[in-house]
Amino acid sequence: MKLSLQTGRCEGYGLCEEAAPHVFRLPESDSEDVEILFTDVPPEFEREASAGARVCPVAAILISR
Amino acid sequence: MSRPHLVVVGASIAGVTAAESARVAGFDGRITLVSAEDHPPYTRPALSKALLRGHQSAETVRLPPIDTQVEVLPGRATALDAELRRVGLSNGEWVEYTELVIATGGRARTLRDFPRTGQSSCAERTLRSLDDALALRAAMGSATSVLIVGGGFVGTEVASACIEAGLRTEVLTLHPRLVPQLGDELSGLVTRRAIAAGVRLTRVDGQLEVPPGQGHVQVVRSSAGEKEADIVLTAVGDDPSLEWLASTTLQVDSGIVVDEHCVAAPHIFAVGDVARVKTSHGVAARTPFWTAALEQAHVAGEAVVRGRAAARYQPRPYFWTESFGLTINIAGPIPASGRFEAVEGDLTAGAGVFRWERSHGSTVAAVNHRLPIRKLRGLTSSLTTP
Repeated sequence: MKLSLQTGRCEGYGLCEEAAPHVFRLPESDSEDVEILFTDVPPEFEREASAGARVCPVAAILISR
Repeated sequence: MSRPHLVVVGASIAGVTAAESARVAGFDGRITLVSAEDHPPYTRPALSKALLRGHQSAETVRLPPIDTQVEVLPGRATALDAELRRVGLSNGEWVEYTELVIATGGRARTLRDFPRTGQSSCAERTLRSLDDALALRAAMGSATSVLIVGGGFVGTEVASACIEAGLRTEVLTLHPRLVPQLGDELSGLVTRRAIAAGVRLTRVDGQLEVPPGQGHVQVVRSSAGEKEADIVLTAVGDDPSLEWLASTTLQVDSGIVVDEHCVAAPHIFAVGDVARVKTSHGVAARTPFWTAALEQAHVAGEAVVRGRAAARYQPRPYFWTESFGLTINIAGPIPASGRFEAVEGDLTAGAGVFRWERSHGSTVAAVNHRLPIRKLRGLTSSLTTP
């Protein structure tokens, strides 16, 4: 599973980080976009990653396999 | 004994999350998601914001694909037989369940819903679904004027998109200000920005009528006289979709009353815009907001597997709105009240972090200031600890 952020779409709500703290991290500076911690999501974090992607209110996080 | 079968009615964020949460909690039976939508699940908050402004499309508002172990069944629920544990669908079929999650959401109120005060025809539009939003956006493309009935979150966001699209925009409202739910300070700020952007705000007394439109022109009659526009949009709130439950014994009172595990009756859960959570403080009003839907769906999904051992739902209000160049994120109860102060920034400049302080549980708003939910919620309690 791979995750990507649609350019310019992240608005910094931080819901992804709350739902999936092992996969998403918001930088200390609030003006920066969320950081995706894996290029390839390890299988044990896949459910967490998709939960984190789903809660994004602007659907900024894309999942591909 | 037959294999467990979880049926979730409603495929918006609440339904999808309930299905996935049950899986995460270890539910290993079948899961069926009944969807009345012609579209794959999408994010509803974006409809009145980025989608209407042309910054997002029907494709980009889609939620990530649903887990492949969930069957999606197109159809609308028309009946519930709790005795035989089955849901009737619009195509005449019955789907049997062992556990049921009701996540049918709501529908936009129209002036037809106020029989004492209004009469209307099909001329009025509403905004609730993706199809509503696409149709409204298309109509805005060939219109020069819009009349919006209602100055709450949806009405105000639509007004902002219409101004941006160059339409002559008038909002008819019962209140002196837009988005009164935000509290006097922020609602005043949004109203000033709206008026500066060219919105005409007209106070009416609630006696409204939308007679049949003539040609392309729509008409609204109110205490402010008869007004015309190319588009009339009614944004006067939503009602829960409950008609299909009319013959059940569920406790239905402007919403399905559920306990803190989102249980409405044995083997029946309700989450999202249809649900009213009953606690020791009484039965709360419905909370038709994104994070409330998510958190209730998590609770129900887990309770499907763990019953009373699952975590209880604890309301943590959070929502956001965007209009007239102001992005406002709020954590804590609304309408906000208490002693108002700027934590950072300046309200008249329209940017900063602001707090209404009360003896317990403040409300905090970030205005044009990106602050993730974790930090915003952190600020709701930080001053109350010595």
